[in-house]
Amino acid sequence: MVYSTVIRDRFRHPRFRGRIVEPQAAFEDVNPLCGDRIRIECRIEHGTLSDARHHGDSCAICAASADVLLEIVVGRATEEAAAVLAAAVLERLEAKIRPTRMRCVTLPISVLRGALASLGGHPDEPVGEEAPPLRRRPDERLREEAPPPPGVPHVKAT
Amino acid sequence: MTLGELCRADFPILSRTVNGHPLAYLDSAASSQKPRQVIEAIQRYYERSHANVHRSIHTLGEEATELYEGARDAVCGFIGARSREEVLFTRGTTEAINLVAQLVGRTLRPADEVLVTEMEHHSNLIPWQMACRDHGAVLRAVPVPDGRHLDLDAFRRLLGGRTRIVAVTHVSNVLGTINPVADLVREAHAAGALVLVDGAQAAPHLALDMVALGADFYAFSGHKLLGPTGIGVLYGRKEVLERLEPAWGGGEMIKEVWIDHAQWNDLPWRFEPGTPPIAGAVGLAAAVEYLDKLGMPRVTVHEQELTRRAQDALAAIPGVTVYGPPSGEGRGAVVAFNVEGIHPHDGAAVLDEAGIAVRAGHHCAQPLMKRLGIAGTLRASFSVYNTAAEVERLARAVATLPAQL
Ligand SMILES: Cc1ncc(COP(=O)(O)O)c(C=O)c1O
Repeated sequence: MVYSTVIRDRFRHPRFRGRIVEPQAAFEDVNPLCGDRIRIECRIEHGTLSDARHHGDSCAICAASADVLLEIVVGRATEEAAAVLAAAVLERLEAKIRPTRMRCVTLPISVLRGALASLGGHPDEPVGEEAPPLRRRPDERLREEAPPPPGVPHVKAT
Repeated sequence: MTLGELCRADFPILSRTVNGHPLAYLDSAASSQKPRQVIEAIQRYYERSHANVHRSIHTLGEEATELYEGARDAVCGFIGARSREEVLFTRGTTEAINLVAQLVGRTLRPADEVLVTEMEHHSNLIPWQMACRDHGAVLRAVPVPDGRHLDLDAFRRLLGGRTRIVAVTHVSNVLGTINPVADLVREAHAAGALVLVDGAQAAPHLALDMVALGADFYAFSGHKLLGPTGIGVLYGRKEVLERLEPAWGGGEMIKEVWIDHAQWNDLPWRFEPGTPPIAGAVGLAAAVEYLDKLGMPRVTVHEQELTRRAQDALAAIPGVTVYGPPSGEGRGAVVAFNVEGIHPHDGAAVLDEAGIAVRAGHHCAQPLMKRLGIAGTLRASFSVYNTAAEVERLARAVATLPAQL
């Protein structure tokens, strides 16, 4: 088997997949390398991340990473949650991840930080393995595509 | 013996193993492997003849210049260009297209139009977005409504008096669709537009005839054509190149220089400033010679047979969707597919464990992915050295994917 038992199990039977009704914090991002897209929604009560859920369209590693990440952080203070590093996630995944796939592990971490940043966290600290992907504004929502940069004409199909 | 079995021995890398299995390299559309003949030509060049070209009067300089300009002649013959002045060396397809986008871009006026298609590789899209942005031109795109072919009626509707250039791929790097470029060129020329053809996925697989094709520009990369990285070709029709001002300046592209102006060199050097990729050209010449010896028509038959087999074998597996034209229509040497419930990157990781190298992702064609309503695909692609046995290995491995995840 290519992937660890934990990765396959979390991919097939996620414990934290889903949505939060009226989340206090939410963020979403894509991995430009593979197009993986993940969204994390958080419920926050008295400075504690009392619940969180992830959903999106991603590979098994990314989905499993998101699932164990939320397992690690739910119930913790938001600052603590935002400080979790890739090493903690990797340990729980019980997997050796190749450098080309490390982004799949770190994407959920930077997405969680993006969500918590809207509460005033420290979103720009490294996640522990490599630079997090380009970050969008926390209030940005899932969209079909980014708008063209200023001045780039819209492509008109017929 | 099939072509694949015949020439495999020429490719040293194919004898290695990956994760304990013999390597099945099915990612030649991203970059092909190199035959010994190419590797040795480059080594011979560096060991015996390296010097800068055009500038040095000594023996090595003359040998290097002869090899470099000889490579131009080899490519000229390979693509059926009228003259060597029409063959420019670049770093690759991407650089060639960017060069055209700059050369032609500067002739664009506000409200002029550039026509691309929805199936372009980003390298034949982004340079045009930038040219349009810089010159106030409008970018239009021929749609791919059935997810397989260009909408030719839409092409005719979109082609208008303001269309300055049509930039279209010869063969889609995802769908494998072979576009009717000679027809598109005829119609575009009738409308007064230039045509650039992205030949990155065609030049390695189809016999080319620039005169019959009629395009104004044709771009391709050496590394997808059994040659080295860092070298590509921009074919430009002489009448068109002669009208264009160079975009990049430097040594070699000038005849005479004063402190405040200069006189441009003749074609093709006018568009090749600086020390060119000499070793790359030497390697590309060896690659072209290798393919010529095999015979391009034979290469095409071999690869289309493998592609058809792959398409049929994959489509027969429950849960597998194969993209692109139906089997039997004829396509470039790529088969993009998805397995239900399996992310392409996971699929590729499992196949790699079995020694099978395929590409996974959006293949630098995000607008096409959006049209297909998917984030990405797996893609198997073929070259001269692949065999039917490798296609069978791929199909067997794909059938077991769901059980591995
Ligand atoms: C259709 C097409 N166009 C352009 C390119 C870009 O080629 P290169 O990266 O060699 O410049 C590729 C290859 O990736 C391609 O498949």
